[in-house]
Amino acid sequence: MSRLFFIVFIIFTVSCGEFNANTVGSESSISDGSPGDGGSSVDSGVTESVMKVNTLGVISQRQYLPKVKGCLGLDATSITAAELIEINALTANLSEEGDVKSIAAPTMMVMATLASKICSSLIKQEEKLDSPRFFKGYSFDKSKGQYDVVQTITLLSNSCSDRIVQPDEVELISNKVKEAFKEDSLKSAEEALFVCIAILSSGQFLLN
Amino acid sequence: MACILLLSTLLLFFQNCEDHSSNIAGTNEDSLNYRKTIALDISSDTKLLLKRLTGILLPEDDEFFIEVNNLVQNNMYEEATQKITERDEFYNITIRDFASKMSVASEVTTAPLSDFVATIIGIARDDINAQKMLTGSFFYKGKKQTGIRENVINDIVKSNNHYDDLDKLSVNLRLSLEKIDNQKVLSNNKMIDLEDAAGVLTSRAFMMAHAYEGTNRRVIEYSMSQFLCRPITEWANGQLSDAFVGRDIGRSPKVEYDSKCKSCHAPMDSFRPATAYFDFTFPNPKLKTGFINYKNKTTRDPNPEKPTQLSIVVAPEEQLVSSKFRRSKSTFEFGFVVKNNQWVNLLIESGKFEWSSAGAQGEGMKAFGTALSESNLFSECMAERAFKSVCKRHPTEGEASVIRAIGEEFRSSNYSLKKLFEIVALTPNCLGIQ
Repeated sequence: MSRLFFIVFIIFTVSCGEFNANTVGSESSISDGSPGDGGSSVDSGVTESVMKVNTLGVISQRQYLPKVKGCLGLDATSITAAELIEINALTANLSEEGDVKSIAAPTMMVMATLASKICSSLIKQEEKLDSPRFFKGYSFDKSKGQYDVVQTITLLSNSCSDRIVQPDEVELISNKVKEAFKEDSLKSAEEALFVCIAILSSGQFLLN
Repeated sequence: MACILLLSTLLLFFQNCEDHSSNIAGTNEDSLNYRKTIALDISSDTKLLLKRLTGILLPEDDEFFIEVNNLVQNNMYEEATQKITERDEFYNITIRDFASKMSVASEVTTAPLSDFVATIIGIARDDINAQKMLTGSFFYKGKKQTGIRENVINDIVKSNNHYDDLDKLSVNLRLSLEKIDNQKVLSNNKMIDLEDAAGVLTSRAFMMAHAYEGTNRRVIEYSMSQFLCRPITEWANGQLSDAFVGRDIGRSPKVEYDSKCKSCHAPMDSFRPATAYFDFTFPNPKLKTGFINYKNKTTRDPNPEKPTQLSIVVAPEEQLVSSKFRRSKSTFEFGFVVKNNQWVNLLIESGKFEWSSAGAQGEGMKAFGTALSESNLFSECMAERAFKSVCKRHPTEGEASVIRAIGEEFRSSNYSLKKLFEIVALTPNCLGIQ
């Protein structure tokens, strides 16, 4: 598990590189590179930059569970009452209002812990499906499945982030998957968990 | 070892963020290229609108997502936002956070679910004119359901049990809330319909936050700061008459009174009689069973020397006025005596808050709520709060005209909260959507 967390945090550093800081008015805001960002116009004065900048927000306490349920298509029965209590206790450590300035080291730790819980529930749900939404071709019974990790990364990322995942990001995660599981070719369930945690604890998922 | 590694990686992560923050405006070539790539993503506006209005994202093969995305791709942004604001999450997350912040003095979104919060969610869902938020005589509660206490007197009027249960069971508020006409309060230990109901201003949660103990001045102060977005520092005015300043405010030393006390108390105390018949009582704070006491007839007040003794005779004309209005009355015996709920708006002369003529004077909380809701500042304040909620930042000073325009559109939409959020999301200053 610690190996997994380590790699997840390396991925954070890459995601962080995508943030573009901006100062607008009296507040310091960070834009997330979405279409409204307007690129070159941000240099042409405060008013112009205010017109085009979309301030970055992060996931808040009340948004976490509905967001993962929504983007992963988790059904009502996929999370048990006991798990729900645990998840609610953990989300209390997230930002109250989604203010980007509230990000701190504990936020990232909590994101990774929450991701591990949610991903376990997702895998349990996908396991029961004849045609899984994200883990197509994975075998969860200790045998090697026939699956495409790139497809899984792309599907998960695109569902849970507001932009299309970039090829270098997909490559980064898939390389880490290969590296981590090169000696354990039969552990496709663990691979699924690895990929899911990497995405749900990334900076891109944190944005809202 | 793993922990140390983890920690150092985290530190690296934040170091990287710091570096980026100091690169003002992100004009380097990489970021421009990155933006160009993103601009080609046809569904990014859909996702942006979805996550900012509801807090969630959906898989790209989700039926609802496809429907909204088609609207966005066909440049039907208004229709797309209208579709999004029909989702449960818009009410259960976004509107709930918007309302929670106004329900408590600390302005936090983590405030408990209450009659105040439920009523605002209900107003948004049923598309009721949001002025009713400050003038209506109704409240919202959850539908009957196993595990939810709903005795009106014990679980709604005297405690927050009903709303605590709704929250504990993660009830879908959008589906569960139902409107109940006539607010209820206790008067001389009997539950009655509140004749002077003023929407959420006379809700249990708002009164608990601002009318418990004290002198009811907080009710006025927070009504202005929550619903007009004007803290007392912005409406304090030393030029106003102090004819309505209460007996509990000392007038000496005069220089200090004139320069400090008077400017806040003159306008605040002139509104204060609106709350004359209201008090919030906590017989047992440990049990959290507190309630609004309305027109509770008091013939004797506590002796200031021995508070347990009720020995001070109350004049007949003051007996329906809460005893907190007679607290420390000997501090300045020539101060204003509150005998009923008639109030005067001294701020109207300043012309600063755009009051309507109906807001010059009135009787009770309903008239006070009406005065607030008819000020243009109310619609602009709601616009400002919705802006903060969707755009994740406060509007800048340079955006005052944008907020005024949104406020005007809100008014012309018959004060529709749902419409207000839709307008804000499509304002170019907010998400950059042109």
